[in-house]
Amino acid sequence: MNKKEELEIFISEEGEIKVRVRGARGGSCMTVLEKFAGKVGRIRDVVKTPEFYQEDVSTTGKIRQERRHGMQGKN
Amino acid sequence: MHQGRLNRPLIKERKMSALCGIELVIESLMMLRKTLDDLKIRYALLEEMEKSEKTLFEIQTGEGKTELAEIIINDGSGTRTGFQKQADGRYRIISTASSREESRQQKKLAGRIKRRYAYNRIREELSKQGYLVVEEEKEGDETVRILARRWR
Repeated sequence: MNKKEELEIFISEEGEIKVRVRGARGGSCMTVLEKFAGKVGRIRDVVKTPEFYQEDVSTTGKIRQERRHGMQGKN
Repeated sequence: MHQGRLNRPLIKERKMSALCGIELVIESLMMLRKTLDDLKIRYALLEEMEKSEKTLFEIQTGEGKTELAEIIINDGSGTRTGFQKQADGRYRIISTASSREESRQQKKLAGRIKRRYAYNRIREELSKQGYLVVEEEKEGDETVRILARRWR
């Protein structure tokens, strides 16, 4: 299943740039950031945050639904 | 009991966010020209630039030094700004501004150029890397916010 990656970019009136990567996992987050930001200019001030721990709701929901249907089918 | 076990999360994944500042690098003459055209900025020495085979033009800096630049523009009040290519391929901005007011105006103009160049370069790179711009807005302090997305 494809995963969503997002870049949120801010360009100030003076031409200063900030880039935030969202949705990438662990180390790949930094890779995505470097591959993009490094092409546009010189990277500085990197801040990494564990944005959130969460279950992959859509995947879990789908599996649960499939199991339910499977169980119903057997009944 | 069986149903309760199924309701527990099956997959846990740790998603990260990373934020960084970027120091803009101007290194594409083509993109710089496009940026100046977008902003409808007037070239100084336009006739000379178009007719002559020269690629470098003289500009007298505010400190009284004569430098060579590939592009020279006018800010409308007589102050000129030049873009000079460095050994590492980056462009340095130089100017004829000598007074505090001229310097202030020149910095403002340079800021406008950097911002538009950054915008053009970012849009170009997003497209190259397969991102689709899903949101673009100007915030209260004139900051441009772009949200781009791709599926991997």
